[in-house]
Amino acid sequence: MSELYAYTLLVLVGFLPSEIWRMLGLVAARGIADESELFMWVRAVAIAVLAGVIAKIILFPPGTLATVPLLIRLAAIVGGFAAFVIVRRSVFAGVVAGEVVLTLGALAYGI
Amino acid sequence: MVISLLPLLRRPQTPHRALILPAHLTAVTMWIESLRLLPRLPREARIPFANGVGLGFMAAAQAGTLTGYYLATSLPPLLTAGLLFLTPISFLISTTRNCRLMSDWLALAFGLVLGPLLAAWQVGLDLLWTGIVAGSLAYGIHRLREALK
Repeated sequence: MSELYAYTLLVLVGFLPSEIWRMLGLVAARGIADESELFMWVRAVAIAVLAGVIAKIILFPPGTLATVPLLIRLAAIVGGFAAFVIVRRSVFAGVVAGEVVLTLGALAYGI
Repeated sequence: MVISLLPLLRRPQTPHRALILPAHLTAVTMWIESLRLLPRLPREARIPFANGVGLGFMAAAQAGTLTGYYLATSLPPLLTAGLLFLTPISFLISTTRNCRLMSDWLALAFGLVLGPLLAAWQVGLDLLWTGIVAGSLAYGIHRLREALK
């Protein structure tokens, strides 16, 4: 019984909330042509949501990342960004540089 | 994300059911890479491409989740902090790489500022509002500038 309850909960909380929005998106996308003005607006909204998520993770981080001081987290973001710009807009270089800054910073801080 | 991805995949004769799988595979990295790479592909190749990218990322994510589940408690905090940091840094840099139009750049900047502000003020549905307000503002400024040209 409790196993059934767990799976019901999994479907209700884990699957349905995202499923509803996906299917609504599928329906809403029907009438929208790419290159249209509405498409441009949706694109801007989607980017803004993602930017909000990113900033929230950096400022209110989960788990052990919260033990790393904010200044080090921000320095790692800046360092990663600088590497991305310098190394021919390479995402890989940016991520590696950001991680190196974060790790060294956390080591220096004593984590 | 689904709404801004599907119009790139669709052709006039595409059946509705062909878009159900890509709609379910839509996640941050799949969305970013699709938006970046799809415009270079011919239309008929786009749905299989998006499904392939989506399934590849999904398989990697499942493997990572399974590994993480068993390793989480035994890893040193320095390593787990570094792993948790992968999410924001990779999302931010790959989103930046995708920014082409002024509205893209503005949406990114406004979203970065507004997201944590609304969260700190404990506004309900903070991310939804971040998207609508910051996205509309970015789009509005972009339109205004185009109109003034």
